[in-house]
Amino acid sequence: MSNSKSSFAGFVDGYKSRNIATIEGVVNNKIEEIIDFLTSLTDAQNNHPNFNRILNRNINLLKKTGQTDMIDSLISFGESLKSSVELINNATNASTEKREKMRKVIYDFGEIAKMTEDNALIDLAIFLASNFKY
Amino acid sequence: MYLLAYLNMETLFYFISFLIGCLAASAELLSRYKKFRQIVAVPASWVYLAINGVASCCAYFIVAKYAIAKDNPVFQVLIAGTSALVILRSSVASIKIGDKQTDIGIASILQVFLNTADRAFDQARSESELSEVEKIMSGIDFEKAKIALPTTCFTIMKNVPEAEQTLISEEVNKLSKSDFDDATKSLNLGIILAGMTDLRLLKKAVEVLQKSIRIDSQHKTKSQLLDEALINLKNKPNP
Repeated sequence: MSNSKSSFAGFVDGYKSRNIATIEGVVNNKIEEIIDFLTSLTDAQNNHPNFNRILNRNINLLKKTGQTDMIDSLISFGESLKSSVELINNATNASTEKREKMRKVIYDFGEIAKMTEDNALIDLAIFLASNFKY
Repeated sequence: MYLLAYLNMETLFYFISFLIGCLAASAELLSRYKKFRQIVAVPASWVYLAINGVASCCAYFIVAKYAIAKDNPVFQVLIAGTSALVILRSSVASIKIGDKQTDIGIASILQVFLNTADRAFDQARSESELSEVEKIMSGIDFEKAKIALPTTCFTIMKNVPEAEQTLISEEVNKLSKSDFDDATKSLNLGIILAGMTDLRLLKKAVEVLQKSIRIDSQHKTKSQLLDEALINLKNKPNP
């Protein structure tokens, strides 16, 4: 029976788990910050119902980071933002305050992605930072 | 003539006992220092090997004198070799001084030579390797190399235990999070890897990867691309 585990798995897995352990506290604070920004966006006036629905969905995804694998939850959150980036652009276009909050959400997400050093998260963060219209 | 032949056989058994002691000690040193070349270069290692060899000879002398298993000389040699190993590593008591547990017995005497070998080994290794590692790692971007270089070394070596890889990954992670400048981080990455692999292999891996891990290479890491994207996002002007 062949051993399917690669010869460098110990290094890569060890590096990732050590990294998550050291950044967990800071990442949780950033997630709280993002949740606050998103919650305040849902409270804003003249929101399109679809925009509110997306915000609430993303808040729920972020709240799951404590229950499931942190990286998986963050990837789900990033994917959700990515799929609705056009709608977010349209919904925040008219208000400087909304745009500013959304910019902070994407910036914080980018900082989290950088700390985690996870390629999938970094790809999502690059996409969002490049495609968010300010 | 018969006496001469007996003496020769006797000498041969002493010699084999000596070799068994040296072999066991060299296995112990190899497990500590990984590289045979460097063990040979440290005089304290020779003293350590000699102590183990002589102890095996002494044990053989006792076994032969008291005619233990006298009909089977091979068995006598094996008994001598293994009993010397056990006696040399034994302690009659273990006392606690402060937070440190100290063994009282022959093992503690042997430990002095091991500690001396440790220090001499570290000194010899650091002197010879530091300048070599500095040459190999000069111009290497730590952020680009911190995963790629160890991964390449482990892939080539194939037999590095997972526990050892995990330890190295923790050291690399700590280095990554430290406030040192990039050149110092790269040098330390090289030192960490040189401790596990061989300088020639490290040099080869750096040569193979140089297109993607050198500071002046066009290749950008995802982390660097993200940095650029975030700076652009931060600097986007109001419409």
